[in-house]
Amino acid sequence: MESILKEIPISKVVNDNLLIGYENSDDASVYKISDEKAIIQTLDFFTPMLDDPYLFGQITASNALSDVYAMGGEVITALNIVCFPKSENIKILGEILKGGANKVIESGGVLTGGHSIIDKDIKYGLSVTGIVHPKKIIKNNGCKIGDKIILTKKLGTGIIMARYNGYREKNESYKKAIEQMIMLNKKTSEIMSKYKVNGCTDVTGFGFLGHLNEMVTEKYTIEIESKNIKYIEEAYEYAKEFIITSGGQKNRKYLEDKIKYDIEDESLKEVLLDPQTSGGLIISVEENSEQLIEELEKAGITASVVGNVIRREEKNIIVR
Amino acid sequence: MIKLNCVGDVCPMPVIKAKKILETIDSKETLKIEVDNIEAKENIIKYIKSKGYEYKHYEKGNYFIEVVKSGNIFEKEEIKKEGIIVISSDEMGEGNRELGVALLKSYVYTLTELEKKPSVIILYNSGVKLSVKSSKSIEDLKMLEDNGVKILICGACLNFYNILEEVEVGEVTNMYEIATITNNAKVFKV
Repeated sequence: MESILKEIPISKVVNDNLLIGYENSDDASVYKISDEKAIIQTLDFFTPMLDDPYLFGQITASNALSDVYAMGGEVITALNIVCFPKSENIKILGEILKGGANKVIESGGVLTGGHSIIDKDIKYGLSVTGIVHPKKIIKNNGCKIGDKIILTKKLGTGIIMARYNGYREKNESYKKAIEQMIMLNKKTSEIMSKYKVNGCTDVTGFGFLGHLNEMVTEKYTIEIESKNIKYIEEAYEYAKEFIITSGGQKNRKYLEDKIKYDIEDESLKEVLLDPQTSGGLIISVEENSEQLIEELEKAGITASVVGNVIRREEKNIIVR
Repeated sequence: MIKLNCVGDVCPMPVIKAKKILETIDSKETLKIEVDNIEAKENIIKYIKSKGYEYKHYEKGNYFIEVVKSGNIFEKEEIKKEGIIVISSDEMGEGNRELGVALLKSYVYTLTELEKKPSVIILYNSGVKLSVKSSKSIEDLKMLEDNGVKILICGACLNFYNILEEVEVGEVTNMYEIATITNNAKVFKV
């Protein structure tokens, strides 16, 4: 993907108002429209990861909205993107859109329209616009040495959904995964805005370690205490049985030379590399991390301090 | 033998499908799994190993893995009466090299003439050089392979001699498979 992107022509005009654009591997683009306001734009869409259209709509919307929250912004509007087969029951689409719309309402934003085409597979997503004060944008990689790394939500949803697609059992682990995926990162974002946060991103397809890697620059290393990571227990059990995803394997290979593992538990590594849909946020906070955790937990959000930003070592990440 | 076609499937579907079958089949029954991506192959093998099942794998366009929950049916299948021939050098015997090379070429040719052919020929160390295009025995080895003789070539050795890309016959294998096949078998070392 990176190699193709390099070939795409981009405007040579230097535009000071474009605060975050193409060249950053950030969550969304940010464009300053006044000294007080910048707009955040993002787009995400999926093919169904489960067979319940209403849940699929909710999960997809939660995931698309998440990029705005990871930038420290608030949602203002959203547009639907729909691909739908002619042969499918249109009621399914109704359920998907209902699920998405309810999440947009929950975000406080307004659904203003969208576009649909006929396609052989179902695809649904949203293009979301948010706003943020230009000085309050939270980039991926603004971490400072001494910051604590906080992870919200539990990992493991990718493994659990992959297993679900093989067994079709709506067991406890399935319910736990759904619960994680339909939860917006809105409250988390609101709470973290009260703290000195230097870096933030959301956990999606590249897994916890993949997205953490995007937060690292050559100036520092992030050290992770794996025992503090929270995950859905069944995901670890499934990983032990080698029910692991193709995406997880790709993440593992891509990150091979960027991470030093001091742990040997391959199943735990799998959970750390597991692609998430609508995952939580990784927050790099300068001070009062314990208080932040407390406040998040009080709001019903799973959160823990999982690591530290330390002086640069050889690798981007050390997992202990 | 039960066949499981997982072409087009990505992880974890091949593992789940294989698991479902392995959980129900007779412990002596062989399951042959076909996958088209290396991650799926690796994961299935990891799963099989974790269960202690017996397996072998090979590549022929796609990746194939054959597995049984217990027993040593692979040995029975492959060894039969005819035995295994191990060629561990690019010459036969020790002494004059020119003579040794000529003897080996003649030996491989003679194998093609035998009515009762070996079941397996294993090539390792400089013996792997027989499997490349420029080898004087390549046509004979191809003929043997066409006649159902399994030709296994040590992958590490091919890498060592840097000729992996030039292999024209047989299947590239590893020490695990070589050790499994030669264990308790009637082996003739050239």
